[in-house]
Amino acid sequence: MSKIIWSNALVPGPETVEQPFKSDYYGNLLSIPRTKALAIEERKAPLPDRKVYRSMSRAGVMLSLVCLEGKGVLQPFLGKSPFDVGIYCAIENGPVELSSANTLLNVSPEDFAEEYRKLRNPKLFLKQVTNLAPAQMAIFLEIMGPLNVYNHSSYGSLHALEQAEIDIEEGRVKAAVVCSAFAFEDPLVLERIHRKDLKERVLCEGAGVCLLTYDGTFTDWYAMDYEADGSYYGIGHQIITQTITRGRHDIG
Amino acid sequence: MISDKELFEKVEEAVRAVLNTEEGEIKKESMFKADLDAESIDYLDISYEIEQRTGLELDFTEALEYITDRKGSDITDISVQDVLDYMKYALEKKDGGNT
Repeated sequence: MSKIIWSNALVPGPETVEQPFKSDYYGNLLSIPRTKALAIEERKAPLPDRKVYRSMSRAGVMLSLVCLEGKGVLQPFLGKSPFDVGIYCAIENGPVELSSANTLLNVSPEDFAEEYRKLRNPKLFLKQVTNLAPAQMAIFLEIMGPLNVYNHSSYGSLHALEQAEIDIEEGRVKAAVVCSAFAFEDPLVLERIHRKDLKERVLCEGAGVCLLTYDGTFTDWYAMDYEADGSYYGIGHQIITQTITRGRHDIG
Repeated sequence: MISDKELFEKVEEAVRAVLNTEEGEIKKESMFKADLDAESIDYLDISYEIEQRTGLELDFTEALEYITDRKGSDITDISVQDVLDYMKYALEKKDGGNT
């Protein structure tokens, strides 16, 4: 029972050259021929807190970047009550730090604890927490409503859209920030997508957000066509495709 | 033994990596909380980065004890110079222990 009143996407443009994805740690076991990454350096991302990048996954940084552009559109809702704006986010678990894991393979059991302590950045674990990315974005935007996170690799975006629709219909929230981000962080996630969902499409990094409000009409998110584009955006695919199809900044 | 200049460069690099400050923003007299906006979790992160660069395990609890012994127990913030002083002390102690 909702309509999209605003949306935004962050995806590689047509000028971005397709590259094969290879992992330093999996060698020839893992290779995805056609991928497009976003030209974003996490450390230089224009976030409201300059040091927060240390505890954010790449997808988390992208999620905040794409959602922050909606600050003005969200303001009327937040002005009435920040508790009435909910977040529905589809995002994968954060990355595993393969460099230190690789080093630890050759460490003796006696030295393992000490080497583990030396090699593991204490903030690394924060990057792996799925809830942290949207929670950080909520802090930036001052959203205080319910936070829902979905991490089903293929259907996370649809689960987010569906729950937002239900919560709006039942009056639990007045507006729903339905968002997702997908980054090339975990080679195993990429390989799973490559085998299961990719088909002939180009695997792309991307982030997208839709702001939903009540309008009394029913949207069957599952029935929509998400195959038209030649790109695939991992867990964020359906949300990002919605955004691209509708046109960005589609207010009203 | 690492020189004072080298030590500052390594600490500056470690702090800059964590706090994402501009080049030249971190000075010896910079206060972690007041000037650099550091929070408690950042100290753990900074000590990790310092250890990566110097090999010295920086125990902030011990460092704080060392600094409060010298500056008083009512301090609420520490400077980069305080950390450098403690590190020199810890490095000397470590070298002394090895000889």
